[in-house]
Amino acid sequence: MLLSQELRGRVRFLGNPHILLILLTALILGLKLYILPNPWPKLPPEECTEPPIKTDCGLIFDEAHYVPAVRKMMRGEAVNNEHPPLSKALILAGILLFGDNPWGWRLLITLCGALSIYFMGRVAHSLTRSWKTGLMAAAFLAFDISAFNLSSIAMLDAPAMLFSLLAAYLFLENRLMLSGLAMGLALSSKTSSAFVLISLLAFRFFHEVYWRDSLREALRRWLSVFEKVGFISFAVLIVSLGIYDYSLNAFNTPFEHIDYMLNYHSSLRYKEGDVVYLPLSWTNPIFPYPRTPYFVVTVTVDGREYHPVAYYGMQTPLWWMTWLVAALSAIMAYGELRRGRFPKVEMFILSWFIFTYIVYFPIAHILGRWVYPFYFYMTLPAIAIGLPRILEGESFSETILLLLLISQIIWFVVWFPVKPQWLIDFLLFIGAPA
Amino acid sequence: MGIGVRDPMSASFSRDEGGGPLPIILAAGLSTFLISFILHHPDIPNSIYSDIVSFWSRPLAYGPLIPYVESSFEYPPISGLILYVSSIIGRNLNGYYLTFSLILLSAYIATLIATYLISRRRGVGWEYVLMFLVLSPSMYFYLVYNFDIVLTAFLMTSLLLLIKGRIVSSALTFSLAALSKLSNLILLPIILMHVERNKRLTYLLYALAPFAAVNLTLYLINPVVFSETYLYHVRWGLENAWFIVLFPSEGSWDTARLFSLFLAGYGLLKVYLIDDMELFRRVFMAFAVLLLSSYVFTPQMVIWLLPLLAVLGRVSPAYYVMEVANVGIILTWFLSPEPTKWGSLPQYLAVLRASALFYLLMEVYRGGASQPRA
Repeated sequence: MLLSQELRGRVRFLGNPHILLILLTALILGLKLYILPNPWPKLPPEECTEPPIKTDCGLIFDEAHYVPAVRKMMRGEAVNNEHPPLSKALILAGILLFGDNPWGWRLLITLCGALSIYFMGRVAHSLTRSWKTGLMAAAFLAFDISAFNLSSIAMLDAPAMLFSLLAAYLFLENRLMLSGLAMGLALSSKTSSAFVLISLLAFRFFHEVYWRDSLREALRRWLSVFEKVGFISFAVLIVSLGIYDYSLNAFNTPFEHIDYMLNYHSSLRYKEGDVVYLPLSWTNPIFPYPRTPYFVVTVTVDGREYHPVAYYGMQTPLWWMTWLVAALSAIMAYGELRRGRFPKVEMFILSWFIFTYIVYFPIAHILGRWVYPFYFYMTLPAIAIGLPRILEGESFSETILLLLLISQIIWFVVWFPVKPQWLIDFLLFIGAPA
Repeated sequence: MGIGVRDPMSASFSRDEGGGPLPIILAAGLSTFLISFILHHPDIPNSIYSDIVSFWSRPLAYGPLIPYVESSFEYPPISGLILYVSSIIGRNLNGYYLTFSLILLSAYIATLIATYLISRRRGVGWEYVLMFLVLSPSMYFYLVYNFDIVLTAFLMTSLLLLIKGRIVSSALTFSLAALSKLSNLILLPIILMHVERNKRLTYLLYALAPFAAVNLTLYLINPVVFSETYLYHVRWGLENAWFIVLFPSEGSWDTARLFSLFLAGYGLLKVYLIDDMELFRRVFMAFAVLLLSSYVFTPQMVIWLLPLLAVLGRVSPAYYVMEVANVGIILTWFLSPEPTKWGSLPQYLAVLRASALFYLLMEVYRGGASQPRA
């Protein structure tokens, strides 16, 4: 009797969606911690600070930029000034706490990556008031292998994602000043977070235009939101740049630092003959951009080749759903408007989608700037919310949603970057890539 | 600190006895003009710099060449016309300077009259007209200087006609102001707010049509006119803008211009969206925002603000600070080896001036001005 009560209590505990979201976050954190020391460097930091950075330095993908940059920052040099300092400051703090090794480089960043899953769920819940959507959105992002890889290594993207989602959550909860603060931290982590800020403001603009009697009143209310979120986030960015510039004697003022960043980023233009993976190839399942090896170790045993460590950037089932989500969100938004209701969720999804993804089409095609498929990481929250939003409600569509999630998880397992031997054996046994 | 509208001095002169105070204003104004004329006269040793005299060094003026057609000119058509007429009539530097100055004098007189009439309608004492348009140091130093008084004359006349309900005349005069110096175009949304709903389209049409027609004609004659006239200023660097503090290196001025655009957009939107604000307060605020956000805030531009301060009937300590700093800019300009660089005396004065103007802006925004009678 007592045992069954205890069991029921436990089941009820697990039935709490908030707890489930925390457990999902913990699971992802656990997986991230499991892979974190791989690859481990074979060379000392002194040999891995100046280019060319060798494979034995154990640095994955753009870690080869950021970890050496942080090492130089620790020597008092101002480097990698084209990016804001917060993500690098987190890497630096990690190195100070855990040493100049993969734990130091990646631990705080990976923590940000895991926490992003939690806030993904909170954003989706706050938007839809449905825990089912919240959990589904969190799960889609959690088991996105590219997102997982990118947010497990010492790059700028995981903190930018965490603070952007935190800002979005606070924004939806109407805690605007705190949202501005979080957005400022996102901007201080990676400049392209500005697109998230724009998407939030655009969403709010449509919201105000719909609900207010006149455009004037809508503008006035929107401007008040803009002041709280936009100004505070900009102030936080200025402060973070100011601290960096002052301590490393990098620029006269943070505004000149911004000028440098803008000039640098607008100068990155490709020319004829360069291989550029344009934005459509990021989401096109028929003509996708090729899988990009970030760090791959190949082992051949008895003529069988496998990769015990293999970090890739690649499309996932979630990425393939992009255009479906965008098109159906637009149709649903139109339907809601015709029914005299404001399509809050759809407008949020579409704003986020347009300003974190569509924006790269003119940037790449008209301005001719280099773009990279991993930029799509910041768009994933829109797709992750959109998919359950569209497919929830009917048993057939929910079955499809479940199948999509299962395929996302299978994809995650197959391409998991640091595979235990049993998984490698299993994958090889079934003829899957390992 | 606002001075009451009906203080004893004002009361004693307000009655239109014996022709009223206008002759006094005009006589005093004439003396101001003469001082300014002498200060900048090219024949006077150590005369103070003036754009007008500087124009003479170009073939456009001494040629003379037809502006926009035979030679580029970086000011709008009425300014070009004034320059051309002065060159044709004047023939030499002295004659040119005299003719130019007389045209500016007529604009100054128009400004004085329009400002006085507006002040009278608003119940604001005429001593404010004296104080701001006659006794302000900026009037001495920047009256015979550039085209700003022409813009001011057309704008104040347009506003006078507007409050008299003469919509078409007001719109046409507004158009002339835009043809002298573009900056009044930012006031169009404000003016439209103060025009009856059914007359807004008429106002818009009459305000923009002449402006568009003149510019289109010039464009047909010389297609590069837009680039040479209007885009010329877009390419300028920072000049007396307070945010040189934030962008001290010249290499960062592209971003400074973006910053300027953002500030102007935000500030003007804020001014446009204020509810139930009286026309002249709003106009003052829009100009103040434009000047504070502009990456070029040449000292003669303060002339735009002075008649508005007069009709608002306000005297603030910040006004004195702004005036001293504004005149200080020209007086120290040629003492500094690099006057446009941060660290030079004119730029410190420009920052001081901006602070004072910002204070004035906040005062007007909060309604600290003495409220005029309807």
